[in-house]
Amino acid sequence: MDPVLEMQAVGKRYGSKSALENISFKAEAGRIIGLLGSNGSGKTTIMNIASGIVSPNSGQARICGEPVGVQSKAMTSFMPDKPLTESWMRIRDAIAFYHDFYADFDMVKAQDMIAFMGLQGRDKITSLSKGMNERLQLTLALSRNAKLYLLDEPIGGVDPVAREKILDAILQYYNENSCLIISTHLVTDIERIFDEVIFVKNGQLALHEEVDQLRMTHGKSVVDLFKEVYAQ
Amino acid sequence: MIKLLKYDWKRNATTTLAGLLILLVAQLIITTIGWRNGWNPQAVIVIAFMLFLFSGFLIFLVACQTFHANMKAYSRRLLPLPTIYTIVSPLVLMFGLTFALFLLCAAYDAVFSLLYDKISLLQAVTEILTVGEAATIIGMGLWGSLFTTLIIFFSIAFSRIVEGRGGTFLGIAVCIAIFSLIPWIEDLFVMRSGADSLSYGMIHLIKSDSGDGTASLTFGSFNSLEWVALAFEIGVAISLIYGTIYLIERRIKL
Repeated sequence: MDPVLEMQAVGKRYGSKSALENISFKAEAGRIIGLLGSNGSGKTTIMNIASGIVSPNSGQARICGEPVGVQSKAMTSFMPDKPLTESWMRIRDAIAFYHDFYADFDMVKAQDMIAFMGLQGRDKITSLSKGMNERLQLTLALSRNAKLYLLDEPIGGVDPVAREKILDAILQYYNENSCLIISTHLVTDIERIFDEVIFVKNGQLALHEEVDQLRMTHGKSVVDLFKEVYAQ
Repeated sequence: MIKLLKYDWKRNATTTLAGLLILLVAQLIITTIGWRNGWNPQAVIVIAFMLFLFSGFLIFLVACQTFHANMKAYSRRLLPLPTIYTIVSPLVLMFGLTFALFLLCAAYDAVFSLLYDKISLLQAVTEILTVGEAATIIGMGLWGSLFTTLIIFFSIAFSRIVEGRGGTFLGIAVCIAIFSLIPWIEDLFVMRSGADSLSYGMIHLIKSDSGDGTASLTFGSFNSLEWVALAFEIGVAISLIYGTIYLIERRIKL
C-alpha cells in the first residue's frame, strides 16, 4: 500500500535562496506527525508542496501514490497559516463553499465542530478574533474526510485556552484512517499528541523518528531534543 | 465552473448591484430632466451611452480584480480544479455582466425612442447592417474584449512574480510591451493588397472613390477580416493562457 505522503529528494528555491534541499520521507495512515523547526526552517514550504500550492524545483511529492495535482488536492485537507476564507464571507458561506467543492466534506461533522468551537453561522469572518478565526479554519480543514491533513501552525498566536480547545478538536475530529501532519515551533504545548516527529533545519531533514523510539534512544523528550538541535 | 461563478458573483454582488443602482438612477435623472426641459435628444443619448460605456469598463475592472483575488487566495488555489478555471471564471463573469448591461442598454434605447418618438438605435443598426456584418462586428467585439482581458490577466500574473512595487511596474511594462508588439508583428504579417485597401490589425477596409472627389472606406463581413492576423492573435491568446497557468502554478508565491 502506498504511503499517504511520500517526498522524494524534494528541493525548492526562491530566487537565489534555497528553501528546501533533498527532503525525503514517508508518512503513513493512522499517524499524527509533528513537523518541527524554527522559523524559516522550511516547514511551510513542505506543507505548500504537499498541498499543491507550490511546485518543487527538484524531486517529487506523492499523495497516496498520486503525483501532487488536481487529484491529490481532492485527498488533501490543508490549513495554511493564512485564511482559507474570503473577506466577504460569513461562517455559513465558508461552510457552504467547502460543501460545494469538496466531495468528502462532512456537513454533520462541520455543524458539530461549529458548536464545539463556539462559532455562529451568521457571524462575519472579518469580525472574528484571531483565536476564533483559527477555530474556523480548523473546522473547515477537519470537516473533510481527507486522506492527508496538513495543519500549518494551528496554535500559533492564540491564547492558552484557545490552544487547548484547538488541540482537543484535532484529537476528537481528525479521521483516524488518515495521516495528520502538524507543523509548529511551539513544541511544548503539542508534544503529547505526536506519534512521530520530523525536524527540519535550514531546509534539510535533521531527524525523522517515532516519539517513543526517540525517548528510548535519546533519553529525552521531544522538547529537550528540539532545544538541543535548534540551539546549535 | 458554475459553482466558481456563483462564488465570484457573491464576492462582487454588493459592488455590482450598487453600481447598477447608481447607473439606473443616473440614467433616470438625465433622461427625465432632458425630456422635461427639452434638451437635444442627441446630447441625452450620447450622455446615456457614455454612462453605459463607463459601466462596461467597470465590469472589466471587476473581472480583473476577481482574477487577481482568486489567483492569490488559498481558498481557490487549493480547490481540486484545473488552474485554467482561475482564468475562465472571471471571463465568464465579465461576459455575463456585459450581456446584462447590453440588455439594459437595449431596454433604455427602446424607452428613449418612445419618449422622443424617434427610431431606436438598435432598429437603425439592423436596417443598415446585414446579419453577416452584424455577426462579424459582434464577434470581433467579443474577440477584442477576450484578447485584451487575457493580456491584462497575464500581466497581472506576471506582476506577482516580484513582490511589492517592483512587481507592479514589471506587470505594467509587460502589458505595454505586449500591446505594442502585437500590432507591430501583425503589420509585418498582413499583406497589403493594393493602394485601395487599408488594414488595421485584423480589420481590412476597402477604399472606393466616388468620382466626385470623395472617398469611402467599406467594412464588409467576413471578407474584411485579415485571417493571418486573426490566426496570429488566436496563437498569442493560447500562449497567454498557457503562460498565465504556468505563472500561477510555478512562479507565484502565496
